[in-house]
Amino acid sequence: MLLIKELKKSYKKNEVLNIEKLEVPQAQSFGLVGNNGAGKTTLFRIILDLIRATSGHVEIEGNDVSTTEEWKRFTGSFIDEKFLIDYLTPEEYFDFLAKIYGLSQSDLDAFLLQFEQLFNDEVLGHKKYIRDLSKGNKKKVGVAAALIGNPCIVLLDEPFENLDPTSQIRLKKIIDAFKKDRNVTFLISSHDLNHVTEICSRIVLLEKGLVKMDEMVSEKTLSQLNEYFGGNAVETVVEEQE
Amino acid sequence: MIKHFLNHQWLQFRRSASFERELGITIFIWIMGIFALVSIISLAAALPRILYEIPQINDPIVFINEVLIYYFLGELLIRYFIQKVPALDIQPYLNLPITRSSVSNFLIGKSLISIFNIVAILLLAPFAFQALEPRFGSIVIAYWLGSIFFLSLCLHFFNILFKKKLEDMPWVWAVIILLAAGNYVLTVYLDTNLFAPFASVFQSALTSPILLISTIALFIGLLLLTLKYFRENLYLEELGDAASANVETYSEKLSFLGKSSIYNTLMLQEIKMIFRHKRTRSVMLLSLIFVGYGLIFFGEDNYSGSKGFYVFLGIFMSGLFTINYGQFFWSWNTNQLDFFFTKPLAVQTWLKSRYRLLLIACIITTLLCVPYVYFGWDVLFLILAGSLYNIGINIPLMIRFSLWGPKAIDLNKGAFMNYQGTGAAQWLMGIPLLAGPYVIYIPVSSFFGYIPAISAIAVCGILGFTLRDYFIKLIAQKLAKVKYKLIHDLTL
Repeated sequence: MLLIKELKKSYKKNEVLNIEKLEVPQAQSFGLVGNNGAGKTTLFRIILDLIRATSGHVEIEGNDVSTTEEWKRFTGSFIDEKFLIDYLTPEEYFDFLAKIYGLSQSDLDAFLLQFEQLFNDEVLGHKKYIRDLSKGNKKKVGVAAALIGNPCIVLLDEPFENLDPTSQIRLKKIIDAFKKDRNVTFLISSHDLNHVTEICSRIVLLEKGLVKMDEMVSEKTLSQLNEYFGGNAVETVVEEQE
Repeated sequence: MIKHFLNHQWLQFRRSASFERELGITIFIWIMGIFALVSIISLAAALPRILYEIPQINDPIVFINEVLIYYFLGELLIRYFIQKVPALDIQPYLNLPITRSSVSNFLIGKSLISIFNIVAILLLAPFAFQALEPRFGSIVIAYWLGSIFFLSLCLHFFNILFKKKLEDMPWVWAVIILLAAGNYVLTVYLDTNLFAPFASVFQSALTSPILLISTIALFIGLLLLTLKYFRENLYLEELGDAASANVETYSEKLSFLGKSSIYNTLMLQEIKMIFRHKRTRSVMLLSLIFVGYGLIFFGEDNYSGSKGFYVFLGIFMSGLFTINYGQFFWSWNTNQLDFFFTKPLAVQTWLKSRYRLLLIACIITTLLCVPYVYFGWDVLFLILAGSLYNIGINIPLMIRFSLWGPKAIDLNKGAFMNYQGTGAAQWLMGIPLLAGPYVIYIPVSSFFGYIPAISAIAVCGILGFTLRDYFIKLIAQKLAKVKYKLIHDLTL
């Protein structure tokens, strides 16, 4: 499904990403964790061909993302608010997307019905531009937009950030449904270790652009991660004290 | 505390992300400002001599007092358009133990440091010393100039309060329009002017201090009112540019576009962008105003000798939107490129739909220019030829040129005097657009005359139009090469 080979990204001499090989098979949900500056968003932006890799390449379903465009038809993504067109209302935005993905009005209505609970009556029907929505509601619009048009692979950067606890649980249910019913491959980056270990079957830990850990999720994973990040924190505190 | 505020303001200006990116344009604006100031000072120095040398003016002092009211009306108008309501990013200060009154005092105090507040005094002080002092003595200078100074400050506060409290009420504008129209009718048909009595009000300052005292009182009153208003309304949502609670609905009338082809859907989306941002709206408005530009020239015998100039007019009037909007063609998509480049949407499709939008805009401006047929069929022919040339040649040129070092534009910022996104490239790219037709016009007209030359321009436009798909293909190829840089440059 997704194949990353000898991928490197550096700004001048500063290397921010170096991934030898990473393969994500169809229907696997893949969680990306790491501290700030680990290279998670850079990796996502390279996968989406929004920044140029210094060397190496990324393939989605055998299509090199930087030389073909076919992959865009089945790749959904939401990285940040810039993926929204903020001067449209959510309805107008979804209509626009439906047109791009060739969905009929009834397809779109059926699609949006799945998000009724998540939207919680705060997104649709308020005659408000996206730019005037709260951060949480913008996130909901973006995540829904990423799932439009039957994608096979969906990239979400911090999907749980800014969502209230109820919405977090509802979003998890939606992601689960898309995984089960449609075999969607998810790539999710998150700082919330609980969520990410719950919804993902595989976790990759990035640190300073390098893959430090790559395992299938088991009962031990969460404690392993907690130990890893907690261990780091203790180390720094000790260093500072010295 | 004030020292800290001042320091933060300076750092905000100096460290803003756009400071270096737009350094060139900032310097340009400063030079224009200094130029304007020098002009005012030299006008002020020359004013007494000018007034005494115009034979129609019997008494320059009376004359000045008669026109002062119009000066102040003009000042109010300019203040309304240019002067911003004082605001500093107050959020970080509101949660600190700083009193509301010290924040509002600072905001108001800072707003007083404005060039507008001294223009009147600058302009009239030399006149007062040279013309008033010999006749009325020096105390009168204080009465007269003082009244003018404080009146100017009153306008300052009036403008702030007007923008905050009255601007959004339709009836206020209705009253203003009614007054202006009423006064026009009175002046033209009944020979009375509502503003005439003000002449004697200003004249009275020459004999008594009453005007000075009342303007000072008015000034203090408005100052206290403004301070009170700020103290009581020191909330972000009330002081900041109020986010428009209403969604504009004009574009709903165009929603049929969204139901047809993808090209029209993309076009509708862009029309919404234009309607929903101040900056783009002002481009549209300016283009409409300039449709009237031809009135200055057509029918004037002075210009009919220089037919070559008409070519410029033909291109300019029908292509103003193309040029004004097209020079920022890519910059308008600041922060939207992530969206467009991750969607299954061929670049050529996107380009074609935007070409179509410019084409339609060009046709609309041309239709608006049709009444110029009043000045002769050749004028209409000229405009049609210019319009064809714009459609065929200038639109693709503009789309291509605007890939040339585009700069990010924050669409949510105000429009007036906003040069964000303008660089040297944006000034230079106008040259080939306006000079291009002369490459055809000059040789053809020198051999065959005016009408064949204009026809040649039209034919070139038609040729360009038939080649549009090829042009778009070339632009799409270029875009594929500069994609990453474009995304980087056009992200704020």
